[in-house]
Amino acid sequence: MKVYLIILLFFFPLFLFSHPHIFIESSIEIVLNDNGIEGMNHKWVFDEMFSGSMIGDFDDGDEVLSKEEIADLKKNAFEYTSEQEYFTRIKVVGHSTVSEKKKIKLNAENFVATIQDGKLIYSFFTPLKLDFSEKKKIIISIYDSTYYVAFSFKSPDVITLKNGSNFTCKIKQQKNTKEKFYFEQFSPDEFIIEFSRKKL
Amino acid sequence: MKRLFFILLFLYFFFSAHLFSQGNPFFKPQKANKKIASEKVIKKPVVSFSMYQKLLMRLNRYQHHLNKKLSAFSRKIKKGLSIKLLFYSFLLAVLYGIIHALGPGHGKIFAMSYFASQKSEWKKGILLGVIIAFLHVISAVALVLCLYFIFKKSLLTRMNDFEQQLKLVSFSLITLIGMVLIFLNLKKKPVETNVEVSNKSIYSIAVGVGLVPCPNTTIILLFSISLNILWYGLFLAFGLAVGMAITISTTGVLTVLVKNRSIGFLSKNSGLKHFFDNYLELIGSFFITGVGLFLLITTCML
Repeated sequence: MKVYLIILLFFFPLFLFSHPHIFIESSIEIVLNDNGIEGMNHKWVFDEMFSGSMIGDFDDGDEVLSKEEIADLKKNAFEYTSEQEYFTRIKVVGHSTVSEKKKIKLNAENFVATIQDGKLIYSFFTPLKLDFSEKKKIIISIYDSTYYVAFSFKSPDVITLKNGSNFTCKIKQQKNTKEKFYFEQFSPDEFIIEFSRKKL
Repeated sequence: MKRLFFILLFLYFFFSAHLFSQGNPFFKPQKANKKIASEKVIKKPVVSFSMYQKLLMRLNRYQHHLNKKLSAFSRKIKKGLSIKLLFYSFLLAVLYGIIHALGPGHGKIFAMSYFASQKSEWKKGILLGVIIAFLHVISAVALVLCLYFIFKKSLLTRMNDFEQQLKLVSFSLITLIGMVLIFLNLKKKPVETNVEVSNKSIYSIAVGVGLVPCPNTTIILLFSISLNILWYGLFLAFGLAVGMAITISTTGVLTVLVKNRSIGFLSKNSGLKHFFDNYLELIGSFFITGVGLFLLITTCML
């Protein structure tokens, strides 16, 4: 009896373990300017299986997405993700205390979709416009709260900088165990990025 | 201890049931999900789930790995047929099905609550698991093939729309079956408590649950269509069904075993035995109705 009970209990939490049905490898390029952070370039590389299904729907068969096809993809298979902030959560931490964290609402611009080696790739830019004089700390986490999509960060260059010559930057990746999603089963991976302006 | 176990079972079912109705975030606005999907911030973690989380992440990685392998095998099969490759593809598809069905949905919730609400033998657990898994896959195959032969284009987008309609039918059926079970449980006399569950009622709950197309089967089939190897997609779908049947059947069999053993154990305590005999089955029936209704309302809101 005890054995059955233990095995069944093992199965229980797994009811909540979500699908996932789609796998995305994600990376972000932070774009800097003279005043601070301009915004972020996002890149999502879909798994080959889901890519095949999407390409079958939105491409005319030439494996190259035209402007019209990209517009179609954007309207019908991208814009809905804005309801989840494009799966990207940004928190800006104040200079003196961590409690000054502020969540930022994102808007996507310059959406482009391409096909490479049978994989569908989404690229887009989200403006941030964060000006700072000396230091700034931002926390980025990328996840789908419904866990239909699983994000992975395999590449060593998950977070990169563009125009970063005026700044020094420290990047740390960690699991935020204080924050949970999907029925408190998962903790998101967080990228804590600290910027300091170089002294001239 | 046993009563606590069943109360926990009930609560778990209730809070996890709506996951059945979650859809692809790329295609449907997630208004309902937004409210449902737990994204709340907790200040202090009460219990450390690190081991458990690691297990879930590992299962997720296995799924991703199997997904990649099957994609690579599909491309190889397109280039040339090989018996060895087919054999390995089938094994991987079965494994994918086993791991994938550990996720929410796939009828495990109903397999468990159904057997908690009915007197049964473990063989019926296997029967229900097999029927649910195969119907789950067959409904996806039927829908994809119909759309493929009728429309040829925009299959994934159309699937998403049709899935919603099928979910409405499925959840209405589940609610109806739950109501019938309540009626039968209220009607029966105390001496008739341990009446064996009939195959007919197993078929009805299996149809209600299995009608929802399996999204993974859909994606595999659409991928094989995009490569022009539909037959291979159907072959993998069969493997997936076998794998899911193993997981769902295991859940059903375990529920039957736990229930039967706990009733045997409780026979020494006449008060608790009376509770189990008279109320557990009724609670199970109410649960099936409640979950069916909840899923129906949630799907209507999407």
